[in-house]
Amino acid sequence: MEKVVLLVEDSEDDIKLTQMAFKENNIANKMVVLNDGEEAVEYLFCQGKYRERDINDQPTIILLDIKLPKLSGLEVLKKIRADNRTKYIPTVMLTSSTEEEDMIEGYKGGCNSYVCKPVEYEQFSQAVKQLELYWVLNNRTPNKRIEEE
Amino acid sequence: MKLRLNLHTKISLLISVVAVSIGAISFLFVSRIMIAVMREGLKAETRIIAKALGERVLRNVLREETIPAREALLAAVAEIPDLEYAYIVGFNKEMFVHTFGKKIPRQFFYHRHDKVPFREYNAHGKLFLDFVCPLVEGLDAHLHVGFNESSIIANIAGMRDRIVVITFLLVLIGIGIGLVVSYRLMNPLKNLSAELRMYGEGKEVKEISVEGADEEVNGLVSAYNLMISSREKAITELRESEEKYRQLVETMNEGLVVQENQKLTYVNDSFCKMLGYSRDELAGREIIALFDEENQKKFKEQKGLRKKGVDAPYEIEFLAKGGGKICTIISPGSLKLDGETLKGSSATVTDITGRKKAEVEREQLIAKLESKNEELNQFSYAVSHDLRAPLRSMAGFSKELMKRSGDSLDPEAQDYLDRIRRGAVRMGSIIDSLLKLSRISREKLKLKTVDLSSIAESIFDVLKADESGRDIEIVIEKGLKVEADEDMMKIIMENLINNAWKFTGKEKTSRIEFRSKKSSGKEVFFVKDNGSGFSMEYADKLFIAFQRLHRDQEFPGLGIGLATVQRCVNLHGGRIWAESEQGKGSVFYFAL
Repeated sequence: MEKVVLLVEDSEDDIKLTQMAFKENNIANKMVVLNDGEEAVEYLFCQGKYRERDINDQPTIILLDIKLPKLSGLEVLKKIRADNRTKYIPTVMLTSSTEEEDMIEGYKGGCNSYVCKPVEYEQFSQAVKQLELYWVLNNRTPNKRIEEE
Repeated sequence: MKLRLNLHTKISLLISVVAVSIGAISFLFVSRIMIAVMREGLKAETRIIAKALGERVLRNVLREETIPAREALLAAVAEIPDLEYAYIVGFNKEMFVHTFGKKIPRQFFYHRHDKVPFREYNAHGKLFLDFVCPLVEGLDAHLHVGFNESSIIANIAGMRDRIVVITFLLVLIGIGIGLVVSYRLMNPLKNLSAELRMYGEGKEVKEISVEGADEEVNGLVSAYNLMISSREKAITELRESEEKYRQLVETMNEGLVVQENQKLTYVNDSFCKMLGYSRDELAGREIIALFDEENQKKFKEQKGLRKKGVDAPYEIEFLAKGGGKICTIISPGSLKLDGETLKGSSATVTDITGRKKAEVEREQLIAKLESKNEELNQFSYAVSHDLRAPLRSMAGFSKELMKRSGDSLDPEAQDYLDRIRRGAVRMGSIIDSLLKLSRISREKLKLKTVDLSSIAESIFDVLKADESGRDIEIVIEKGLKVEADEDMMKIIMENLINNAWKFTGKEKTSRIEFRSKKSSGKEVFFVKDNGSGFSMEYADKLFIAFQRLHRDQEFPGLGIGLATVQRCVNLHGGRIWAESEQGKGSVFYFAL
């Protein structure tokens, strides 16, 4: 099965930068970009315009911004962790916020990692590369579908 | 029925009875004596008359000449008033002559030979005094003379009448004197009793004059005067004490009310002022009428609680005269005298409208402050989130542009692009530092024992690893510990040591020390270096944010590190200061 990276991000620039970093680091995985929290929920739970999607076909990793239109990243995280079908998907908070409060809420909500986007592009690119390396290539998640539990 | 007489009547009656008795007794006594005296006088007179008459008729008797003897007797009877009769018993004990006419009263003969000279008897309805005397001593011939005593007695009776009148008059005078004396005696007593009555009724009384009264009455009056003067004194003392407490109650800031049967019996000025009523308007008014419906309910509840013995102060709103609401605290109390609970109850009423208003204002201020704080938080959040994103775009895309088309740009254009990128990166750092600084003030201190020496060591380790080529001597005093917030101590130490490291960067051999010394009993820590130092002229600008003493090309930096350090030290209630000389290094001291 193809390994899909799901990026939930509202900033056009940040999407572009992330894509640039992917390209620069020769990351070949398919990237799905969603622009707000609500769309992310619809995608993950195959609702609305994604109702035709196969629910078993879930991303390998979710890169989730915190500040999102409609539903915030933290709320989306809560929904992901609350549902058996999605709760084991590795989710990384990829955000501008260096606020302690956001970090605490992120980890409380069960994120697997919290990464502050550095201003300097080289550092940003490095961070994206490391994320890809670790979560897409090295990390293992159970293959069993969760609803069977 | 028992007759009740007052003392004056009793005394008067007593005096009258005594006077009448004395009068009667003296009358009887006087009249007896007078009768006796007059009788004795009569007897003496009779004896003289009889003697003279006897001598005159003795010769006729001796010669037995009856006619001249009889004539002499008749002449005497006629001549002497009250001489009723006379007769002579001859030597032969037979009647010789008499003045009786034909009928001689038989009784006379019974006593012819009596040896008793005087004899009284009744005859023909008359009282007679018969006197017998011998013509010649030792012989049987006797002369009898008889006086009619009735006329004498009539004389005496006349005299007795006069005595009676005189006695009566005397008795009257006695009673009169008695009445006057009794009146004189009783009058002060009467006055005293009237005064005493007034005293008892609690009316105004004055001292009574004691002049001219009897000793006993004087005693009573002075006792009375003593009594009223001590009462006056007690009343004055009571009034003074009452006045003192009244003034105390009147001038106190709290309202004071006394109620009985739910009606106000006393209110002080403060309470009147509080509600805007006059004292007359409140007197006798039901206290419950001074509340609105809601507070009436509350008042009744409190009353119920009080019956159960709970009398804690409580808040309640009064209705003022104009209809305004006065927020108060009522502290109920009961009135006690010698431990006995009196009727009614008192309460102090404290106007807390102002306090309430201040409380509300304070709450509003706090809310305002909180909302400001919240705004600040949101601002920080926005800064952290939204200001950094565009910088990332600037840095990222200028970098990408350089990569893709750098070769086609002239060196100057390349430099511009690089400046854009570096500017963005620097601004990102500034934002991060500012956020750190603002976050510090919001953090609460978590005090624990912090080992400053080991913090210093680990900081130097990182620095040495990053820049291994430097010839640098590092001196760390072991075991320097302090009670403080660990995160803030790390910020302090990092900034001071990084600065020392930075500003010694141009020395051939550099030396950095972290040690402590005692200064006026306090432990002072310091970081000392032999770096470039600064002029003490600018020492006061060291700790101001973004205030730098070196150009960026000389020593790069944001100018926010020492401001952050100072804030951390201040939050611990401590002090930070520096000593330096241009080109000879500097020392940064801090004490917590």
